Amino acid sequence: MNLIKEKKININIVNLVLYLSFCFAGWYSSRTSVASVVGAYGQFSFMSNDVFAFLIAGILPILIYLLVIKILARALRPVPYLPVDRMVYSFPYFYIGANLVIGLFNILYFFLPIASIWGGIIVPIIATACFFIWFLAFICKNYIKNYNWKAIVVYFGRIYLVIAILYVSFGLLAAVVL
Amino acid sequence: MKKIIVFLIALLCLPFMSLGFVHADEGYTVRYITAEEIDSMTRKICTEIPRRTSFSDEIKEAADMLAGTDNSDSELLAAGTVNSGEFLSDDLDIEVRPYTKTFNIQDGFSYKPTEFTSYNIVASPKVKDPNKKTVIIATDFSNHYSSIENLVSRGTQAEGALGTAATTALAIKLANYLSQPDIANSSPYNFTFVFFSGTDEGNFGSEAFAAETDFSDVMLAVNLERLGCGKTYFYTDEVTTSHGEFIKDFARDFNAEEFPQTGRVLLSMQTVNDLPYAHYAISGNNATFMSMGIASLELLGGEVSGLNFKDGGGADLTNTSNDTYEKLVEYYPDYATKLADVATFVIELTAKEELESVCKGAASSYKVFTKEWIAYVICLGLIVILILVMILTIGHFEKKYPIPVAPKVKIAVFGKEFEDTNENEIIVDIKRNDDKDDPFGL
Repeated sequence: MNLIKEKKININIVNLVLYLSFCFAGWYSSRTSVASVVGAYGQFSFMSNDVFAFLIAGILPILIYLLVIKILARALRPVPYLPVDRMVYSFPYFYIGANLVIGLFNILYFFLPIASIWGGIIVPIIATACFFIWFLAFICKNYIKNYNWKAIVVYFGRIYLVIAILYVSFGLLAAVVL
Repeated sequence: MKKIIVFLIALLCLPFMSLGFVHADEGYTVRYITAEEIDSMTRKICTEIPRRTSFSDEIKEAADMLAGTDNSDSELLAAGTVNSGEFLSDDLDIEVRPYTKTFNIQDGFSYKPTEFTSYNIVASPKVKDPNKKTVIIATDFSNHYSSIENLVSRGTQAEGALGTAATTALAIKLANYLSQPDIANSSPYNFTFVFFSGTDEGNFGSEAFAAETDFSDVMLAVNLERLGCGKTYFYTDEVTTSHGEFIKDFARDFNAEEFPQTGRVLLSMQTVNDLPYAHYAISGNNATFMSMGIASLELLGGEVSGLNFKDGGGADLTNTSNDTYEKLVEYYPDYATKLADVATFVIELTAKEELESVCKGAASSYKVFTKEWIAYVICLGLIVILILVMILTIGHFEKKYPIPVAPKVKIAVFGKEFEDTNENEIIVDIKRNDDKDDPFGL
C-alpha cells in the first residue's frame, strides 16, 4: 500500500499495466470475437491468433476508462476535501486487481467452457465490487476524515451501484429477449 | 533354478512383448476398408456427382445418384429398381427425403419469403434386429459448387473433394461394409446412415431429419466431418460423460486426439440447444444430435491453428475453388489412409457391446448453467445485498463518526450576561467597557 500512498510508480506505467490487465481479463471473450470475424472474413488470417486477441482485448476498455476517469476527475475537483488526484492515482491499482481475478477465472474456462456462461456474468460483478469496496476503504482510511466516510460511501457506492444495475439489467434483457 | 528359467523366458519374451505394445500403440490391427477403396469412391463422387449444392436443382440429382434411386420415376419404382448399387449397396434400404426451408430473398427493395427444397439420404441395412439399439452414422454430402441467386453467393465450381466428397466416400464404404448380412447380424447394434445436405447453410438437413425421426432407440450418433486432412479429432460433449470417457480410452489406440481446449473458441452462434455459444466441434450436424439429447461422437479432421480450425498440413482446400480431387491427392496424398483408419475406428468402436451401457445420452447436468438469465438474476440479488451492506455501513459510520457540529458564534452586544449560553456556542462580547452606564456603548 505504501507503493500507492507514496506514488512510487509513474501513473503512465500504472495505466500501461492496467491496459495489460484489461487484455488479460478480456482475452477469453476477445478470442471469440476475433474467431467470429475470421470465420466471416477468412482473409484476415493474421488476426487469427491469441496474441492479437489478447492485445486487442484491452484497447477499448482502457480508452473508455481513461475518458471516464478524466470526466469524473474534472467534475469532482471542486469538491472540498476530496483527494481527487490521489484517487485517480490509486484507482488503477485496484482495477488491476479485479482484472487479474477475472482473468484467472477466464483461464479456468479453457478447461470448463460451460463455466464461462455464469462465470462470465457473475465473476466480473463480484470481483469489481470487492475491489471497489477495498478502494473506498483505502481512500477513506488514508485521505478522508472519518466523519466524511459516510458521504464518500454514499456518493461513490451509489455511482457503482447505478452502473452495476444498468449493466445487469441490460444483460438480463438481452438474455431473455435474444 | 526355476526362478532363473522364468527370468530367462521372460527375457526372451520381452522383445515380442514390446513389439506387441508398439503394435497396439499403432492401433490398426485390421483394415476393414482399404485406402484404395475409399480413394476410388472419392474419385467416383468427384467425377460423377461434382454438383451437390444444397437447395439447388442439382442436389436432387446428386441425392438420387448417390442413393441409386430416382424417386421421381414411378415406373422405375414400380419395377422394383430402387438401387443401382453404384454407390450404396443393395443390402441397404435407401430413402431420399426432401425437406423445405423458407428463406427471405431480396426482391427489389423488399424481402420475399421463398421456399427452397433440399434432400437428405437415409439408409439402413435390410438386416436389422428390433431388439438392438441403433447407431447413427452421419455426414454431409453437399458442397458449394454452384451459386444460387440471392441465396448462395459463393459457388466454388469445385467438387468439394476434401470438404465433403472424401468423408462421404468413407460413410458410403462404412454403410456398405456394415450392411453386409453376416456383419449386420453379428453386430450388437442396428445402423442408420444419413447423408445430409444444407449443413453449412445452418444444419438444415440434420434438423429436418431430427424433426421426423424417433430417437428413442438411438444409442449413439457418429458424425463424420471433413476427415482426411491434418489430425483426426474426436469430441463428445462439453462436460465429462460416460461415453466420452469410454471413447477417450478407445481413441487413444487409434491416434485420434481429443478436440483441443485451445480450439474451443466460443463462436457467437447458437447451434446446440441451451448453449449460448458454439465452437468448431459443435457447429455442424453434431450440434443437432446433441440438441436431441442423444450421446454423440464427432469425428473431424483438420488442425487447430491460432483461433482457426483449418484443413492443416497442405493448402486450405475446403470451400474453395481448389477443392478438387486432383488437389486433394496432391496436397493430402495420405488422406485415404487416414479415412481407412477412421473406418477401423468406427467399426471397432461400434462392435463393442459395452458401448450400450455407457451411452446414456447427451449430458444434461449442465443445462441449468446454460440459462444466462439465472446468472443475471443472481447478479441482481448480489446488488441488493450490496445495497443492504451499504445502508448498514452508512448507519455504522453515522453512529461511530458523527459529523462534528460547527459551533455557533453569538455576538454579545450588550455583554455576556444578557446572552443564554448553550453548549457548542461561542460568545463574542463586543460591549464597550469604557462607559458602563451607556448600554449602547456610544
